[in-house]
Amino acid sequence: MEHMPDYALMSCVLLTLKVAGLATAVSTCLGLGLAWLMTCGPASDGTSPAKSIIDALCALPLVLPPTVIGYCLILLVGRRGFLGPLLAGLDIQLIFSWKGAVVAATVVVFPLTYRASKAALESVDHNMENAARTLGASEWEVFYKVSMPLAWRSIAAGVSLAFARGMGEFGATMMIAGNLPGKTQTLSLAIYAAFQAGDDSRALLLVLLTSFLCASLLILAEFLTGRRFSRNMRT
Amino acid sequence: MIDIRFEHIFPHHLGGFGLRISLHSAQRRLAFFGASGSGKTLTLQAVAGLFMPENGFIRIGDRVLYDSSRRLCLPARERNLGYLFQNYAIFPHLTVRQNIEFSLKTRRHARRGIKAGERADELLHSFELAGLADNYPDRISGGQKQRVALARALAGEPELLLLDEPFSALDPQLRGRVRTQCAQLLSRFAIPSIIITHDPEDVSDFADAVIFYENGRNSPCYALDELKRNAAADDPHEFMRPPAPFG
Repeated sequence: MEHMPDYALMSCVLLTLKVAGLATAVSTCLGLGLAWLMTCGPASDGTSPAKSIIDALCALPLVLPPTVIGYCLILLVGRRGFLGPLLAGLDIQLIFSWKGAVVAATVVVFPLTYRASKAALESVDHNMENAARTLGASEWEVFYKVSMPLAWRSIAAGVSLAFARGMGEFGATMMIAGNLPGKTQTLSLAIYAAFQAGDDSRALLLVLLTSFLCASLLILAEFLTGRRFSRNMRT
Repeated sequence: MIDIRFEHIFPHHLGGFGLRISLHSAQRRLAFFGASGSGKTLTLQAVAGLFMPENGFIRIGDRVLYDSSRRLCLPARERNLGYLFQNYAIFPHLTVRQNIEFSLKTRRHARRGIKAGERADELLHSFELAGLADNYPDRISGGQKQRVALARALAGEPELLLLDEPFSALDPQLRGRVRTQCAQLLSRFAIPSIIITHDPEDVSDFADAVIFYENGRNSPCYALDELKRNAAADDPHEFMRPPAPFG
């Protein structure tokens, strides 16, 4: 029985972690920023149809087939795509590169980080934030001295969920980055390749490895949401 | 001296409530008295900069905080007012000492060069909280929480203290004692204040003048002595009535 050489497996795992990690980081920054604008920032007053539409659009990657997301991304960032000339000018090649996999995973996990951030920030008692304002805190100080310390656990739970989802990203990644061993082949793509090639033992090894990583992350998320400090809950 | 005039009408889906407030007083210790939902808290929030009325004018002392005709609206952080929230809004992730130091450690106050540690020590001592300095808020009683919130509000030496029903969150048997203690502390700090309440006892302890509220309208300012003189002698609570209809 022939196993995948260790270094190939390692590079595949590292690439997966790199792609999922970067995608999670980018989508967390974007999701948290947008959630802050929608709940605490200048646009937070009242409810407008625009906000409902933004919310719905942000949830779209959750329900769209991955192939649709992949196709839309190619239309957007592909060589002949909408942003193609701009990216070419900057000498950024997304199609068939690991960077493209990061873009695909970012879009796919964005709803998770955005929704978790929004729910977490909404759950913070507005009086706490107002108290900080009357005590002389700027909006930025309100955010990092009050809102974030009270909301970070729920946000972190959403972020670890997003990371797990990012590791398992398959469809959109395959369309935009392809399935190039050592270059764009993440764990989930490697499983598909091994299965296609009839190498069942390698596929099984990769499946076990991926399942283990994802399960660990879900347990972490559960731990973060389930066990809160009592002092973070009371007022 | 305070001078507040503003109007605000909430959209229909938020109840269509209309506020028309016009008040002027030179008294140092004021009470807004009226039932819940009469607009008292919104007035206080407008003064603090937490609620922006559609149009109007708010002046405290010689500082204009809000003037819609000049498109002037100072943000809450620049108004330098203390606000005691009904539920105290103590930061649960900070210790008693860190709560009290909060305003002193904001960038705004850090520039003034106050030593946060020393000022916090003074306040912890005056408010009898020294033994609890390193406790988290979930480990202290309701009365102690109120003292923390008060010390925190006073730490930045505000020009005016706004108290939003400060005793309604306490058990009735605790209320009397905390009220007395709180009144003593405030008289020691000699700070102008506005208290919101629907309890006549709060008015006696914390105010020299009363403004009555009803359905988003307010009465003129009446001196407490005057109200008491005119009241019937048989009922001690009877003085909390507006002498003339308003609205």
